[in-house]
Amino acid sequence: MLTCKEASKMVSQSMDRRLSVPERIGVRFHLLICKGCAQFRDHMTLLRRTCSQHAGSEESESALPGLSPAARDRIRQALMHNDG
Amino acid sequence: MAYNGHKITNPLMTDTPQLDPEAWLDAHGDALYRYALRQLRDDALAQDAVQETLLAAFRSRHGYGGQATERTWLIAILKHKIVDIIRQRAREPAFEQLADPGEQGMEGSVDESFDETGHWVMAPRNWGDPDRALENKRFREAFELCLSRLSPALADVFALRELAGLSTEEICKELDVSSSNCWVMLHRARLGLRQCLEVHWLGGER
Repeated sequence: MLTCKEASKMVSQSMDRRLSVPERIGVRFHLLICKGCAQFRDHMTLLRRTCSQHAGSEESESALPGLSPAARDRIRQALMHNDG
Repeated sequence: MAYNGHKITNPLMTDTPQLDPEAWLDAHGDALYRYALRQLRDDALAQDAVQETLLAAFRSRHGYGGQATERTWLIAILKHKIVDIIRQRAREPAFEQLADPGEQGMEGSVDESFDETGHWVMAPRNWGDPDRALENKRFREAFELCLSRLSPALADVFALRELAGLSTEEICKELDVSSSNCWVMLHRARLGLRQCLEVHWLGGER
């Protein structure tokens, strides 16, 4: 029987690699009886969805500022010097 | 900006994209910058990434067949620049220290989440409907805050995996760390983010 520490590590790794069959059985069994780790799994899924939304959201809905005018000018200068 | 003859077309007649880095800067500069800033969390480096991207795009402009939208094409170039920058940053001593498998440092913060019998010290709580969290501006703000509070090396590995979408194999290769090391770092980043979000998302006005 996996401990929560081991089970959560497996849940995290399942986001990065395919678990072996025994690993998968162990995790699934643990998640059936452990509410905390089942929440952890849900949180990991939400984290991944948040990241893909976050990475993809290039538009203004973000609180992040855009390029400052000074930075924009500096980049423009670099571009002009490049193709002179 | 002076251009050679090949550029002279009637802008109303052409359906080829404008191959003009200054126009790209105007149209996509903010989007590229925000994209880079999210992954790099550093204003100066994010500006560099934008500049490098536009220069590289201009140099390889004839390879752009217009299959992807201009922005998608530029973002693809930007992703490579971001990986380059993170790879350079990963050579700094602070990162190597964190990436070093010296057991205590690595497992230490995982250990903080569990007691000696391997049980959660504070079991993860129910966050409610994930779709509602995703739509909630406050959740996204909490996420950005928590990401910024991760240690830089963990945040870099996490960003490469989850924001840039690299596989762990690619990350290991880029950063020259072992795969088990990479998994431990990702796990630590996820534990840290989750715990921070529980405080800042659940602990808010709900």
